[in-house]
Amino acid sequence: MKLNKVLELTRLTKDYTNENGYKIRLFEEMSFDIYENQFTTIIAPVGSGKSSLLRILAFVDTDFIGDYRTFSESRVVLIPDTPTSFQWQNVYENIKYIGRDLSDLEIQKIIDNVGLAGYESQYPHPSAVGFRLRISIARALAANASVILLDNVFHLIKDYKTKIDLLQLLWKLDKIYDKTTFVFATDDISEGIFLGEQILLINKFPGKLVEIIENSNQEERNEDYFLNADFLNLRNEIEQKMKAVLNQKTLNITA
Amino acid sequence: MVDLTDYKRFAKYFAISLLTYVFFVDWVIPSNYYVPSTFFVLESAYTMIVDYKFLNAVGLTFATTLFVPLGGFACFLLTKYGVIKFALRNNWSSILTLTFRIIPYIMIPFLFTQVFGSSIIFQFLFLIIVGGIEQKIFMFDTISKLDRNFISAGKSLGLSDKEIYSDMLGQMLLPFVFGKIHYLFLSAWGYSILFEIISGNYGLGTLLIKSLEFHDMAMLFLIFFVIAVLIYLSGFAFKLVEKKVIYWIPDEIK
Repeated sequence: MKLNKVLELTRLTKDYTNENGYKIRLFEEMSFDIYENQFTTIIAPVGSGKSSLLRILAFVDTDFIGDYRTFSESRVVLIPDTPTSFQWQNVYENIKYIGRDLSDLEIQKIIDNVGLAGYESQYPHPSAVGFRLRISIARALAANASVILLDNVFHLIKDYKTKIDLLQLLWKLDKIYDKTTFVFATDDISEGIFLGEQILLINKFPGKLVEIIENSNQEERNEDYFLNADFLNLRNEIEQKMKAVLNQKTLNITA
Repeated sequence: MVDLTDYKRFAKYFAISLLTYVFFVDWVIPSNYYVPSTFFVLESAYTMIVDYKFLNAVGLTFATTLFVPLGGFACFLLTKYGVIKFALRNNWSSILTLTFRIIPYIMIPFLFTQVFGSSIIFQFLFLIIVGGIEQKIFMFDTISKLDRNFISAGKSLGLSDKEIYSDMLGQMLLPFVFGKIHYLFLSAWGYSILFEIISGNYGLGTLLIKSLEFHDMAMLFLIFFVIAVLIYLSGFAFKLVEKKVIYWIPDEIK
């Protein structure tokens, strides 16, 4: 089946100057495409610039060399790695603030889909990261996003059960919202395989695309998937590849 | 519903302090020149209030102290609707802090009284300015530490600049602003009294000097007692307002 392209990144190169004045090459000649309704995960080591990459994909950062374009007229929404739902608004108000044109029925549908039914009038507690992530996802859906970029959103969630629930939620939402494409950047290989249909492996300093792996396993995702033979083989393969590229890396720093 | 925990705690501390004072001053410490006995304080309280026009003095000082939070809040509104975006780009807090380390606040009343005289209006103005400057330094400092992820998320969700910088970040700053204004209100008593001592305006500062001149320890005791009670009561009122305005912050975090 031929998939429609939603995002196209060509020869992305970006440098940044650190606090000591050294110029570091963050990305070099990185190119990839993201396709409609194909869950894409970006697996990259810690400190490799996942957040910077997603900020570029979300059009928040435009300071880079290369070509980047989107084929969809709707919005590309970024969900950062720290919770950004408004604490001064309850669940319903948080979503309504973004989806002003949506009817109450449509908002309620989004609330039900992200698993917040019954919590409409609840204010998000600052430490309830999972709850706030659900609100952020709901807000992105209310913004009628064509692409939702999730930046390592599980790194603050310590509870295993909550993490599994949220991973399953993302998997389920990807199936429900067939006009919305999810892109999830993580440093956790297991999370990346759990969700990814297209998995992008990215190197560090400079960030380069190592390989694109297709995960065609469409099995229902739950805890058992972590024991699945396909999953274990794929994890092994990715681990080996990441180990190999990280061992041969050289730090690209200029004064 | 009004939370009575603070009231009860205050009543408890007040009773303990009073009993300790009565016990020590009337029974343990021998009658002396510096610490007035309870009986003497109670006996002379009415005379002091009438002769020294005590209530007028308390009124003036208390009214001026209220102007510090007002200055602080005005500064918050100005920042909210003006310079948040600018403050995010330029870290001016260090420059402002440095300036007011070189020219301490104590110099401002001297300059004020020299230039404008010691009118009561300038006492109010002085406190608004001090509150404003303190708040400005604090706000610039807080803004520079805000989580920039909110801006990225807001931009990608299609929020306008006004919605991001005024509505969203302004709201995020509110809990910090409240905390700072509460602190400013406490320091305002010091600034008020200082200005009155320098300017001679008839407030608690002048009364303090008078009581020291006349060695009126009962008066001194009364001044500090009234200041303590007013600080507590206004702090309590402040907490009630805070509960209404920043209703979303859980009590255990406040």
